[in-house]
Amino acid sequence: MVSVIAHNIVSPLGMTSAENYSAVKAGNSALSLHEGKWDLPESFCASLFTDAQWHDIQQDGYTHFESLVIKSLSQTLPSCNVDLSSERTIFILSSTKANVELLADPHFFSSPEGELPGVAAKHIADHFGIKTSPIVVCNACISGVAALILAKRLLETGQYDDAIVCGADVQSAFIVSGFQSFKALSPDNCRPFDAERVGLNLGEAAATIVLSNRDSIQSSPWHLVSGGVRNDANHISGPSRTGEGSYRALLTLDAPESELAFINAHGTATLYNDEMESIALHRAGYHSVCINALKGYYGHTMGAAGILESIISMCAVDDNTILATRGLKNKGVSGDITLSNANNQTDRESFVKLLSGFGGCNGALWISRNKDHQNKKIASNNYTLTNHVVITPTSVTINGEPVVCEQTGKALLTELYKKYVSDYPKFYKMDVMTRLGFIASELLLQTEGSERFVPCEDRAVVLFNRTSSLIADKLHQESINDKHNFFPSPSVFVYTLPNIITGEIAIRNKYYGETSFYILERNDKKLIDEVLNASFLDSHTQSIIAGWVDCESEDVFSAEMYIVDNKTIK
Amino acid sequence: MVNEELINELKGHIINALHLEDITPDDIENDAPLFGDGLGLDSIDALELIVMLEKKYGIRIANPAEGKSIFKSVNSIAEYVDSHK
Repeated sequence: MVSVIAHNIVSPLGMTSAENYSAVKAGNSALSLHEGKWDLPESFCASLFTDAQWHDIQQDGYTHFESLVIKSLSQTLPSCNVDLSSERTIFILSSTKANVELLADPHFFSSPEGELPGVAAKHIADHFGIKTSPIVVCNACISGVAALILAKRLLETGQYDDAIVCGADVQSAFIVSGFQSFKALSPDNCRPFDAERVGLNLGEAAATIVLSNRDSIQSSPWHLVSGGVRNDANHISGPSRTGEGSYRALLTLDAPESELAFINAHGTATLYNDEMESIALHRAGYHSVCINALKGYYGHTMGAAGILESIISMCAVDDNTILATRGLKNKGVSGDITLSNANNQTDRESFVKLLSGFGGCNGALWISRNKDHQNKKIASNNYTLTNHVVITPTSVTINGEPVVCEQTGKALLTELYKKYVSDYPKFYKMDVMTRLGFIASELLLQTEGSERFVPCEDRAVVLFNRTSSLIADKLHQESINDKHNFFPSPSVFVYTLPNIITGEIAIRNKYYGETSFYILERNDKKLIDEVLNASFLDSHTQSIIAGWVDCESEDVFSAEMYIVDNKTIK
Repeated sequence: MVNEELINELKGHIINALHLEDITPDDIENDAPLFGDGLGLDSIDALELIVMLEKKYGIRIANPAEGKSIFKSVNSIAEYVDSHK
């Protein structure tokens, strides 16, 4: 059984889980208006650390982001008996943009190696003497839940005994200007599920949960029962009008309504997200259980959200409390659901955490302190590799056979599109990395030869890389560098989430199954193998479009993509 | 009546801003709906058109809901630009 053995939240509301929970229960919020911050032309409302708090968090020799993660881990690790130097301890970092604020510095812009998320994760791992290679989960706004699901699986496969899972994001001009270009921000405190909601607020925080699968460990009664990630297969930024992915993610949990104290929704307070969630919850049959959201206290803490909101929810259940949704006055969503707008009592012992994000991804997790909720039986898996495609700036091979091409670099991808696809003009809207992944998937699926575009939920898309979304990151940074020529573009910003590529493949092929994106310090075959094996612990997943899609520049990239099948069903 | 010069200029800006690689200005009819089936545009394209109007014409649309009527067709954009320049 995968148990929670320690946790911590570092946020503008406090430096421990207990401080944070007390503040939330008292109805406090760290959201406030920021004018002229980071020279941004538009003001914004967000939950940000104060200068005094940063003084407490900042570590010499580390970036803001790394210091924040180190602060949270330092508050967590001493209280649990985990051997950090063991080969059986894994560190999983959940972040959407990690060190991206460094790109504003011309030094990092021209030499971004130190900015990369996998490098940051390694710095942090080295700080604590963690010996295994860390994994960065970069699955947009569902990263926190996706990281907990990955950790649970890696413990269940028996590869590791303990997992340290930390989610964090630091706000910056980069992120705020991007969300402003999406017109997604509320000028005032956000109002999840309210009739007058107009958008979200951003927030910064780090949150850590340490998980263990060791029988001997003295743990809290909390454990992860089940979790699933599903895609809308609809749009890279707009949520599905039918709540498709969230509905399907909820169904993977098998969590009876009568056993849940509450469901802690994403509740970003954008018009479309909250409406979508209400429809998904309604479709999944959750009509009477209380639904709440915590964005009115913290804003959207991005990579931290899934972990932070799970911890607050555990504290609430420990305190027999269903928390109020701060900002909610009048229900403004169409789904037949019961919203919590005041602190209420409960005697139930489990809850569901729900998230959704760009790239069409949705994640749900059932967490319980009731010992009757044992984890489901785990089958051991081994996958078989079927077809594979390799693309470099100068060569293409399909199942080892070279494909004759005339162009190189970015032009090679356009040549392949014209020759092998040609009827999907959205290709031209994609950034270079997404074009690379898209074309590799097209060649792969054409080679597989099965009927295309048949909706399915049993195929996952799980991709890895090293440089995250570096090209799109640089383009977005260039659009905001000059105050007098300040035009952040939504169609550039959306590709600053590398998991968009998994969403594009899901949309094209109508794949409603899991979509996940991981960043590693290097192309580590052993680690990729472990993650892919663990991915088959989602009992619906029978095959995976998997591989490495990395793009340093328009002329330096590599894709190795393959289909893996679940051997146990052969 | 809006002028042809502005119409053609707008078509060029739309094609560039939205990466409509296979489309020429002649393919876009002045009065045809921009969204829906025609050019296959979506919500990100609508936001991108807001950026385009600000960048090229200095016109700011704070509320994206306004975009719906402005971006109905090339003609409606031209009328809006003409009256807000």
